Amino acid sequence: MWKLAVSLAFALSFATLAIATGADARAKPDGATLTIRSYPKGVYGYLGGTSTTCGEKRKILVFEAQGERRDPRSDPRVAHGLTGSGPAPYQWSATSRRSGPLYAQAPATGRCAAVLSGVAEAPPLEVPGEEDPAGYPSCGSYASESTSQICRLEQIYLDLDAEGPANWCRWGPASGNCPGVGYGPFPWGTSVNFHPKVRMYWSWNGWARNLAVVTYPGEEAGGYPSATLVGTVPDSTSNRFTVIEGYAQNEGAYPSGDRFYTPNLPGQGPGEVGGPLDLSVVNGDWAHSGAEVWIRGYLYLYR
Amino acid sequence: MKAHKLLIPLVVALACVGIGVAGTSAASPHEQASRRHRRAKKLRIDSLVVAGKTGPLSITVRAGIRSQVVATVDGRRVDHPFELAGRRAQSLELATSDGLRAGPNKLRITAREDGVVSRATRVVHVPAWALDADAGEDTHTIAHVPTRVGLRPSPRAGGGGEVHYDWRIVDRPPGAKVTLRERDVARPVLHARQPGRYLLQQTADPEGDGEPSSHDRVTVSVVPEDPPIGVPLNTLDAQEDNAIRIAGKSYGGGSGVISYVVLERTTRAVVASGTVANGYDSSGIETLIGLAEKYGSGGNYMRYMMILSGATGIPNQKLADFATLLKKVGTALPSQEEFEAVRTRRPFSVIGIPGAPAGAATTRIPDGPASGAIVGYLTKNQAIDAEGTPLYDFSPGEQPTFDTRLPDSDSTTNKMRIDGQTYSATLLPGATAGLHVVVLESTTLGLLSNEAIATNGLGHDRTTQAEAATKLLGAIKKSDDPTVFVQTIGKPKAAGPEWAGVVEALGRLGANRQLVNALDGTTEYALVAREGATAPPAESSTAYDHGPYPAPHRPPARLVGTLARDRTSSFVPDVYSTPTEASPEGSVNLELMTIAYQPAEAWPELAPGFDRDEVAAAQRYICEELNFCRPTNSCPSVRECFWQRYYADWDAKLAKIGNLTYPKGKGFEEDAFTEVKGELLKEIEAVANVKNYLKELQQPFESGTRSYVDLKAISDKIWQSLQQPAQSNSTSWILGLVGKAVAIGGFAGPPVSGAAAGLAAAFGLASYLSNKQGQPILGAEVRAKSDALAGEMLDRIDAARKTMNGLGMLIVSDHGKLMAAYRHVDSDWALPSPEVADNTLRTASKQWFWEALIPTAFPYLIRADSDNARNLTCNDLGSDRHAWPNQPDFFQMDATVGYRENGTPIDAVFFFTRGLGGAMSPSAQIGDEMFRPRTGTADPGLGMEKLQFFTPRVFNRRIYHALNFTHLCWLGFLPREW
Repeated sequence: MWKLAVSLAFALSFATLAIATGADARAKPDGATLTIRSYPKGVYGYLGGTSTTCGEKRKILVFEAQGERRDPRSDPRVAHGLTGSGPAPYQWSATSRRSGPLYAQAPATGRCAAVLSGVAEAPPLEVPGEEDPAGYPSCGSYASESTSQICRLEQIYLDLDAEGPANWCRWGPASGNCPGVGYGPFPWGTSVNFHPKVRMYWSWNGWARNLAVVTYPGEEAGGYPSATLVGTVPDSTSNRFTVIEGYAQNEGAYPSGDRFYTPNLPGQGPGEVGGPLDLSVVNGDWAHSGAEVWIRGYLYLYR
Repeated sequence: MKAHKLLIPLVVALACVGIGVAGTSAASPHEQASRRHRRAKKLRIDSLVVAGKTGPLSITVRAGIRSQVVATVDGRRVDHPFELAGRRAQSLELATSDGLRAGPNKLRITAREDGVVSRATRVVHVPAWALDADAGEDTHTIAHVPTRVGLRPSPRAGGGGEVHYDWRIVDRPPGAKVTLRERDVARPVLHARQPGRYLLQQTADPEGDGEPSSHDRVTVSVVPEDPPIGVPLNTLDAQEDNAIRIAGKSYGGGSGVISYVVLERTTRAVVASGTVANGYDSSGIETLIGLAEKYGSGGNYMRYMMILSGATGIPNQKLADFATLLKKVGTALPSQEEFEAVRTRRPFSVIGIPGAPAGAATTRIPDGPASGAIVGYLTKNQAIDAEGTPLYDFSPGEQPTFDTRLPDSDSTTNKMRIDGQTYSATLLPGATAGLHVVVLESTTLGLLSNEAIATNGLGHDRTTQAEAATKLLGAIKKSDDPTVFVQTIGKPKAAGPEWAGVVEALGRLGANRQLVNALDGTTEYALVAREGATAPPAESSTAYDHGPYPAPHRPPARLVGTLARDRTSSFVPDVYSTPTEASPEGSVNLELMTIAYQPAEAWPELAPGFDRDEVAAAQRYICEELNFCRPTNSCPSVRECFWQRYYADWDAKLAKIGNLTYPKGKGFEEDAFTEVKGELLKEIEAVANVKNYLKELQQPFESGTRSYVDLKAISDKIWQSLQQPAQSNSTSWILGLVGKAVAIGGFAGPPVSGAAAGLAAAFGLASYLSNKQGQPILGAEVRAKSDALAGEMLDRIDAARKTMNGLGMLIVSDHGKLMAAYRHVDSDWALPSPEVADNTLRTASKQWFWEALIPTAFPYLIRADSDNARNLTCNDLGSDRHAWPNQPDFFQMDATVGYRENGTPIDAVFFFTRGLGGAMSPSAQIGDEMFRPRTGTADPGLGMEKLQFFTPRVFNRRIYHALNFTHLCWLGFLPREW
């Protein structure tokens, strides 16, 4: 009998040791998924398909893939981040200047198995004012006087604020809206003398997964907009922003101005000509209770 | 090879970092400017192999298709080009004939891409024995023609003695029958009967012990015996169950399938063909993607053509895969309408190049009942080659002509002729002015609409013009992206704000809005355009900027020219001109364009009435006396030699045949000889003259000759005068240079107009053939950094020049074409002296470069509601309140931008700038060379019309509005500097 007890104790202690030292191999995969995507400050993504325990406040490590296969044991670690609080999927972000290829790993914890993401390549940095490599004119207020039905929407950056201490700006599965300031091409992100007030609205009610970015000409968000981007996004983890109604005001009163859309042509990805706009929304943290948004791509002119 | 001689190839695969050497040659202002902004780049050498299987020295560098890579060996330029060896690799084989010596050789490799230069140098030691093998340059021959390959042996550097040679065929087309005679000499004879790529290896085995053998390889592309026009192609032949039909042979076909053919671009040899299923649950498209990847990567890159067609569209579920396939073969992004057409089971065709950049493929995806077949020729493009062999390219062989106002038109009826059809339309009774609008389906030129739309004289002009705008828009919208022809009847007069509808409708077609707004009862206008085209429309107007210069005498607005199919198979204006008093027929040689593709005509029988054997013997004798009809590397008859040996000295041949006397005992009588010689002499004279005519047309842009129009110098001078060192991208329509030349030539009249007209015709025929990257040579926009623009332009013109040799071959290969052209070359096509022609082209080039370079220095075209840019009052700007206090008058233009309800015009000032502030305007020191008239002044300028210069098309396709008395004139987002 004592032999059995000793064996059991030995086995238990061995198991405990194994969990402590080799959790990767022992933790049971729980169907979690980890995504990674480049954005102008680095990379971000979502940890989904997992419990609150394994999803919230989870450490995420970012590696630069050196070989054909991802290997966190040998690839250099270049950044790290932390997932936010729920509801799922849990967003994480990490600042990095590496151009990649990068991938992320949520290392195993006592109860949660390790999860590895796919590989992300950083898109080439967009230089404001630089001519479009595809040769399209930049989108603006007088696109209809141009000679092209297609225009390039240079990168728009929205710095969104929280409504107040009790009403944080949180992009996620819940509907919401946030005020903020826009930066980027006129008239969406730049007014004639200051960066305009903007408000971003989103709702996930039924099939209509709507997103609207509304730019106001004045120093306060209100009244008629000077520019809009209104459309749909499949879900809060997607970067595919299909524009149904883009608007850029000219010198006439609202709604005088050009109107735009994205046709979503087959095979065209976000940010490509004919594809949806490329959308990146990264939530803030305790220090910054708002969110940051980047939008870029190509618009077609309604005729 | 002796047994003890081991094959010891000395393989030196070097690490990938090259040694950059800063250039020391004299630099142009562009280059000096760019150096301030960029560090010299190093060229990466991927591999360097000495004495390998492929030759004495093989180099592969990291350079893409846009890079032009050249090498020198000990300072001597290697005159054969680097070959593409993948998407990002180019390779070069060097041998003794390139200057390679035993011992150390200093290699210097330079790559240029978009004006960026990268270099690498290496000192490579080559053992003497490695130089024994020299198989010569890659070459091409015609199937069934015995061809001697290799080089005559030369004493190797540092060595000597006898060398034994041995040749073998390393690779050949599957199942090809081929003989290689005299394998043990330096120059064996290859006799291949089947087109395809033959790889031969020479092994040189020196006498004496202790020295290893060396090797060199040569590729011989054996091409089919196609005439210069090429072979017929139909991508969706309804008579053959929708098969792809090439040179009378069918591939694939059937319903519910996609037919495909993959062929070598050098030899037209088909390497894969068949059909794949096109169901929503089939993996057919994935199979084709695999084929496109296979034939578009590594050493196959840009060497194959892939033809795809289907009669029943693509299932919705497979559209994304289809889009991926299109990208893989170099298709530009299709339009929404094209995707919708294939989704709704319309037919489609694609002629692509696996791996090529977007824009290389030709597509046809009709959204209406039109055929989805691409019909034309697979023809050899003399401008591009691989391994020394011209590449096959698709040519539609169509150049329909148009004239928007036939001479028998009158004040109420206009007649147009398009592709041989006359379209007539008459204004309603009482109407005094209007627009004749003909709308054609853009791929078939089938009629969609032909009407005369009244604008004035029917009572209330504003109401009439509102209706006119609706009718115009309705006509244009009868089909997606139609080809539209517009000609004013009388002189329309805008009557009020409703005119904006007419402007908007024509603006959709790419019309210059200023020219349409200038229709104030004093001017005329004509337009040929296709909606959605990247090609600019053809426009003609009598309107002019009422600036400080004397009023010009514009000819009546009318457009005469040709259409060409763009890469979507739609007809767009190609080359055109407005007839002038001096050149009433216009300034494009339309006859030359027509002759090139007129129906083939057989050669007349030589010496009819004489014994056929005698005639054949006489012809053979003459042929041999002209150094043709030889056992190897030759052409089979005098007439076939016209095009197969087009590069021969035909003036010398003419002299030689003229001096030939009757030889006795050669199997023919003197009468037969005289008859045959007389006919052939006449034909050779025609060949020599036509060839000389085309050569003279090329001369102005030919480097190294006295009459060289130095585009680089022109570009440098203009860039320097702009005092703008920063590099910026320029986007310009290349064919615009030809347009400017014909406009200048048109005013000058013959013989000056003859040079421009001939050049326009030749370039127009070549415009949609491909360059090295698979893009249209001239029928496209060129995008380049300011300092690379002249180089890029020269490359394009050089490619267009080379296609003129193809045009020459085409003309001399056919009796009807040859004689028709010959009749003109010394009369109505006569060319002026080279100096006169050069002046015309030099002026046109200056105009073109000003247009191309000004927007790189001053990118913002601004329209403002003021009478002068200097008077604009911008709020919150400080004490001055004037944002552009230094804008010179000659860099401004007043133009009508609309009409008030009482019919008075609304004027605005147009100007260009680098931003907001006094330092952002162009300096007055640049001068008004651009806009000063070409004639009538002591100091003639370039005579550019401001109404056609201050447009979004010139200024990066954008325009900005400045609003007087608003915060920063509503342009606070522009860069500022005072």
